[in-house]
Amino acid sequence: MNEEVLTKAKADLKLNLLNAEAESLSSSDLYMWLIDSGLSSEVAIRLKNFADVTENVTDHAISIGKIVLLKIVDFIKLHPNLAIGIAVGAAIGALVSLIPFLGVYLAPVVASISATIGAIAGHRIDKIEQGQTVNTSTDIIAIGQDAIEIAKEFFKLLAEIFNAVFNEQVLSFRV
Amino acid sequence: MATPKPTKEKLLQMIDRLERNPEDKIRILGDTGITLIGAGLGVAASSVIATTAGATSIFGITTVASWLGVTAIAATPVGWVVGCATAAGALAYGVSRLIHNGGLAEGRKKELIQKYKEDAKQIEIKENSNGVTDLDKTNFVLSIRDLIEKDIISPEDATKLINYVEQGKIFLSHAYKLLKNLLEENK
Repeated sequence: MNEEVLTKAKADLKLNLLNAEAESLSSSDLYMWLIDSGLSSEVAIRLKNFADVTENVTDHAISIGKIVLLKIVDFIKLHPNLAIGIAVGAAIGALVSLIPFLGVYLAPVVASISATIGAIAGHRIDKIEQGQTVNTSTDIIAIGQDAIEIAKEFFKLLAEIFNAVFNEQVLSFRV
Repeated sequence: MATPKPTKEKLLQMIDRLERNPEDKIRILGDTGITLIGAGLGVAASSVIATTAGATSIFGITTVASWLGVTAIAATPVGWVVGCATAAGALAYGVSRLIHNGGLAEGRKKELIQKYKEDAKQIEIKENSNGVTDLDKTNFVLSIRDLIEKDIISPEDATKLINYVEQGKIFLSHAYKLLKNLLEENK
């Protein structure tokens, strides 16, 4: 397969295209969709707050919160048979791992139960990658591990875009 | 709404058709799946748009001028531009493509970067006074052609960019800057 090399300018273009798509959605609509899909209001309200995070890229405001949330929604839609709590937990686990600077803003969501499952599963994946032994039971945590691996693949392009654009500039997010 | 994914060939054909018939923009872009907002282009304006779009067939003019050894920026007579634009523009496009089959030639690249820079600046002034016209957007669609043809921008990204510019979701001046950056980065 002929893979496209993601340069800084290409990443910037893709980020602007994602932003234009995300900008047409309101954070309230996203919140309602998450609630209707069965996500707990505690997690949904924290995600809604996260949707308001923006960042300036060359004097142009980019709604990174909405972009990320939109992609999480896409991930949930792509896996309709995965419990929404697990899907959101896995998505956040993968995003924090792939795009470290998002960790600060997603921390409140990580505190929720579903995300904790994701966090533990993520911790196990990290241990495996470091060659350490982990508990290999086939319980809900193990399902979370699989879900995070699926999510990491799904969010790979988004992570490449974010890291290419934001790694070179001083982050000054505002909510 | 999902953005359509036309092929490179289809997108280039669309731009060529738009260049020949700018007054038929709604239908031509619609065929590619791009929908316009505020699609109430007046019939009376059509001929004006057609003439001007031909005349501002950006790349054609400067290339033709360079064959004649003329510095286009300084010495292009207005009458010459208006009279020859449509035919010469199309011809210059074709010849330019024949000469530069591989990547974008260095001179052409510099010419485009300069063009994008100037357009971004001029459009920014218009944006500040709400003066952006449909013709400005049409010219943007035409100006993206070389980048699609030389694989500097993917057909999918180009379609989305055109779509969002037409819908007003991305500022036209910003779109020109994005193209300029892509071109500057291209080796």
